[in-house]
Amino acid sequence: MAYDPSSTEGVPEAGRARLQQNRAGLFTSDLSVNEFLLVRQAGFRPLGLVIGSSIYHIGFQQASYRQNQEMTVLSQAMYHARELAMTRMEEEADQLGADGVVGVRLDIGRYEWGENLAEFIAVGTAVKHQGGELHRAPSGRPFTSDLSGQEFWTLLQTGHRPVGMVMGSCVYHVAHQSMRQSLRNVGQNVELANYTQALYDARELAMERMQAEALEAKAEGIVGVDLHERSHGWGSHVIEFFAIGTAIIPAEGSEDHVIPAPQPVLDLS
Amino acid sequence: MSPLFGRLRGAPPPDPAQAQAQAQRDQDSLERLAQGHVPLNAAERLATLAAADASTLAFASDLSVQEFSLLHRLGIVPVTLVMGSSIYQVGWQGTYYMEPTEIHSLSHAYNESRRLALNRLLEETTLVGADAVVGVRIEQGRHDFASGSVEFVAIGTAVRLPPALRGSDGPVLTDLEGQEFWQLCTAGIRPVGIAAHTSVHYVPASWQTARAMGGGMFGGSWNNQELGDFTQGVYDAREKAMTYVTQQAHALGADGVIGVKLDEHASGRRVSRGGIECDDLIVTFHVIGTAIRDDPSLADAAAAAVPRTVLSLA
Repeated sequence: MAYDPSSTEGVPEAGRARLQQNRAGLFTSDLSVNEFLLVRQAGFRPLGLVIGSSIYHIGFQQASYRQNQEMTVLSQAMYHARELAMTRMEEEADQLGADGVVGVRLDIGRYEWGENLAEFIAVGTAVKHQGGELHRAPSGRPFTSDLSGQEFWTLLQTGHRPVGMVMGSCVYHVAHQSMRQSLRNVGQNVELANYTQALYDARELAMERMQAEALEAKAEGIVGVDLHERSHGWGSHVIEFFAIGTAIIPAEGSEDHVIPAPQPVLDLS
Repeated sequence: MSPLFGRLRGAPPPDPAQAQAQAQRDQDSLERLAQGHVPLNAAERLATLAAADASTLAFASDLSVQEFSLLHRLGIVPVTLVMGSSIYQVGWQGTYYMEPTEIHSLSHAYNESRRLALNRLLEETTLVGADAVVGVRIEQGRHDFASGSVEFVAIGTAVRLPPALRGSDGPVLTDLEGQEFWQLCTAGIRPVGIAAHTSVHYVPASWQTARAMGGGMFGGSWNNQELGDFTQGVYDAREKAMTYVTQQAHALGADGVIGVKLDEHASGRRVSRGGIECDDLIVTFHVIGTAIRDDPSLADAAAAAVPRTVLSLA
């Protein structure tokens, strides 16, 4: 989906009115009080909750029973749907004139009324730097990050800033064991190498894609990667590996940045 | 390089020559796994990372921002996410035993699976030219498609250490978080590796225990009493696991093991012995910790300040 900062396609009347109110100065946010104060301390103010959503029909692909393979149709669906949701959220943030979005949650909703449907939702709080310093990603889009307010503050203290959420997804079919393999292994203590390989492969693909996205975004690195395995109701042998994290770059003028020594504390409560 | 779905282009069309090459690679990977190594894809990705200039590559890490900032302060540079995993099939085991005994097929499967996973984690770290792994999560996987098997997955961030922190004997595995790693280093203590063991023991209920638990024709007992054989069984399993962990720590040249996580599972198995229905005990002990050694040269007096007490108002 092409990025179009002026697009309000699909945003209902009430949503446009809400964005209008946010532009006029009233903000909404899902930040806690602590997060709000820290984000403000870091020099940012919240502009409004921004949301992107996409209800996506996931196609079908026949897996061959005895082969470890990526389910490319499904991988592509998961990728594309998340991409749509994220881009729509970025567009909303852009319309508020935001520098970026913090505390992004990326959820998948499944409904009973649609077997092959999934809803992909991205929700976060759009923020803007009060001093007018530009904090957008090199691509010109608002940055996105799944960092909490606390983490956002700490990251800025280290002389880095977020550029965007990067992700990698891989839906993989784990081959069934052949009759010969199962017979050979019966009663034995052995490693199930083909299963190990399948899971390894799937994770590698997901991680490689995430890293490729980070390079694309000209990031220095990725922090807070969450790598997990999920099954979305495609049967026990089809699993999705999903890696997501926040790509970061050094902030301008941070070459001689010194991180203050932390003071150890003992919590008495 | 795999396609970036949705971002750059669609999926590539299938190509028979490519499929053949892929099948060959899969075969090679399986052979590498059989020798306890990491598969081809992983090895190649890590080799490219190791060969490339560090400044041109993005690192990936599962470090939280807090961990990242602490490690950054010490000059520790994250390289990439590394991982080790192994799915292991548990072999034949007896339905029940008459004597207290270790269930070797289960203990062995757990230990081998973890050993393979940790070795692969270490191999990946070596391949990428890193000096240590921090923020390691070691989890037991469970898959619907492989029932009756055990899996260990270890995922962490490989890091390059500054020369002062670098050990002399190759990369170091830890199951510490970044914060803990930082605190140890500044306190002048060097992590040297992971020590872990699992033991699974089977304890048949003795006649007295069976009677006390109220089975069969004898009826239950009304007395408070210790079930000596079960207590002994739990002790045996724990001692065995701890002994192995201590031995491993010795072999690593450690002074001690910290952050030991003891995980005990006990389950019953209903058996009928000589006409008496009773529950035998199966006890599983997982022990894992990081072996450490004192190294005063690392100590940073300024950082090892006395903690300030705070009262959280949250």
